[in-house]
Amino acid sequence: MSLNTGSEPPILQIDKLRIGQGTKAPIVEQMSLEVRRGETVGLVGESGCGKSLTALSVMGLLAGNLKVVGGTIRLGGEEIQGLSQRKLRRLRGEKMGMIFQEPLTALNPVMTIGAQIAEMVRAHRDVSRKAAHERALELLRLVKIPDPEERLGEYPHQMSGGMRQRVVIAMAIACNPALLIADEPTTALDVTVQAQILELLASLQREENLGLLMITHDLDVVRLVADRIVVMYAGSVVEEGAVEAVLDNPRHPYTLGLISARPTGSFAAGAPRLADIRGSVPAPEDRPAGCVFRDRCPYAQEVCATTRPMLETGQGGHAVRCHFPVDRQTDAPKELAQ
Amino acid sequence: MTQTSGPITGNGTKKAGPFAALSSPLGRYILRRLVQALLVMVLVMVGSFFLMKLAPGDFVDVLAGTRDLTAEQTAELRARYGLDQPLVIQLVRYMGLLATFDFGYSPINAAPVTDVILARLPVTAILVVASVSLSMVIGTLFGIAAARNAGKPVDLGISIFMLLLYATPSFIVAIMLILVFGLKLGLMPIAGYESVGMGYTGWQHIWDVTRHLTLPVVALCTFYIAIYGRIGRASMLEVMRLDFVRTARAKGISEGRVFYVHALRNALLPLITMAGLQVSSLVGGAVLIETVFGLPGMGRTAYDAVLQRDTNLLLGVIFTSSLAVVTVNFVIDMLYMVLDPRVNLK
Repeated sequence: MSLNTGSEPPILQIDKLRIGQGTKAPIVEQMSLEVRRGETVGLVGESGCGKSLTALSVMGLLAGNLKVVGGTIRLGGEEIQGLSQRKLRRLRGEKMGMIFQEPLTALNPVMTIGAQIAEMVRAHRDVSRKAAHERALELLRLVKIPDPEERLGEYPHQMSGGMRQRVVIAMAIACNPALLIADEPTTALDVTVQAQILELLASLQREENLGLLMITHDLDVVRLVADRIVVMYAGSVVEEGAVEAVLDNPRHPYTLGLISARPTGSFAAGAPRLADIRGSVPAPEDRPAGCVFRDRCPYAQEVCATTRPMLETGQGGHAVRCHFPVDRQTDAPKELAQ
Repeated sequence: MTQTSGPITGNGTKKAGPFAALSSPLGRYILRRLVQALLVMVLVMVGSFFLMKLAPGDFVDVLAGTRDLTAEQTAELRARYGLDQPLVIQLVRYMGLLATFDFGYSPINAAPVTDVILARLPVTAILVVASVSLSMVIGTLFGIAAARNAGKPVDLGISIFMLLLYATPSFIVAIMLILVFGLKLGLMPIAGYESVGMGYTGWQHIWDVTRHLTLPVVALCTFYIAIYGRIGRASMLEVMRLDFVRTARAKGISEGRVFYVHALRNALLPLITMAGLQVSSLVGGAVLIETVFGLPGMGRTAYDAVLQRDTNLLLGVIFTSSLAVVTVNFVIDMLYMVLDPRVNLK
């Protein structure tokens, strides 16, 4: 699905990323992911599986004592770990922008919208106050905020959630980054507003030829906007591939469970219907040996308890980390819920 | 939000020129606050009046204790100052005078109350303004330094120092300062508001007063430096955890800008609240320090007035202090509005 052809390195390339907290068990491990220019990648998984941490580690914004303890993160082919804070700061905003989940709290309550956007522009571009202001106005138009001139002088609390999310998006793309990371950008919004924001993101992605990493737990969102999907479970990738391939023919039991757990039913005809996947995501220190999903998996066999499956790439780049991948075309669907 | 121009109100009624301001939200808000303030002042004055009268004895008894007065003399004094009248009559008389900003006569000081207060107000005003601004600035700086270095030795050092300041009563600090800087080193005058009999004027006078008030101001500051430091640290750390700080960092602006532009302004609100409380407690509440340094301030004036049953003077001091507190509260609320656009006029 990648629109990119040829030799240009992916705008984002994460390889065997490990994120740990002090001496505790790593929260994210064996995490690999690629985003190419002009491509939208949906990163899905349950809460607590490490999606947001992966995104924050790319931005260099891991909080507290969370640290990248292994693996590589390349931005446009350049390793960003070990860069000085100063250089990393230049990359934030200039090469990559990030949109957060909570538009209500993501903006500084005591600064005007205009000042917050202009500040971003002036941090990266050597432009006058007036030029930054002009750029802010242009950006508000770009994200389709009505009456942009008036909005520039307003404070966040004077705007609705959807409008604030547009402002956050405007800020993230202010300096034409090549990579945009959106962490659950529509979760906190009304359903009608969700669609508008997704549409805006999709159109910006096309117009600016962005690499878009869309973190979500909503498979419908992925279906709508993404070219590729990466499914994460308990800190690592369990399945990835083209959106249609993965959603129509899920190979990992976890992905199948996620699809079946959707309230509107499944994408694939005849998929087993169930309300949930039994059990819950284990805490990093409680992850079982072997396959991390085996405690919740209806297909688990002895080998799953001893050997950790590798991420095996199959046809069309559809990769799965499972000893006994589901194949809907040949297998009879099994009941997941027990 | 703060438009004051348009003479047209929401429902389209036209207001006449000088009252146009009242049709704006800010104008209405200020008017409402003024009415409230007036009400508060009246209640404070009536309450204080009765409290004062609840205490046994009056200034005539105090005078009678120090010199021989005949029964006729005391009766005559009481009649002259209206102390022989029923309480309600006294109250109505007093409030009537107050309405014209006449605080009456202080028989103990043998001068109008207004003169006595005006003579003592500057000392207190300088003490309050200097110690509030000094402690707020220094305390906030300590708090910021501690927050920026949270968990590091600098933070620990500041926290211990703050605890020390917090735990030391101001009169102890005052006595220590007098002992060290006044007596041992001989650098500072130890008492009074100015050098007596020197007849300084102009800059010489200002310098003289500054030297006299330095130690008292420092003594008044130490406790509050600790308060501001601790509140400032906690407030900064709390704000630094908020989502918008992460957004600011994601923009790629410098950490200094994140800290001083984005976080600091949001962290200032609790400090402003504290400043309001500090002013209120210092106006008339600095009795100990004024006593230790022999300063003729409002606190000591009030204290003496209570002992001498000088009702008029005490009520005058209470009136002045209440007025200051009410004014400061109003200013604080206005500052809130400037600092945080979410605070509205309701």
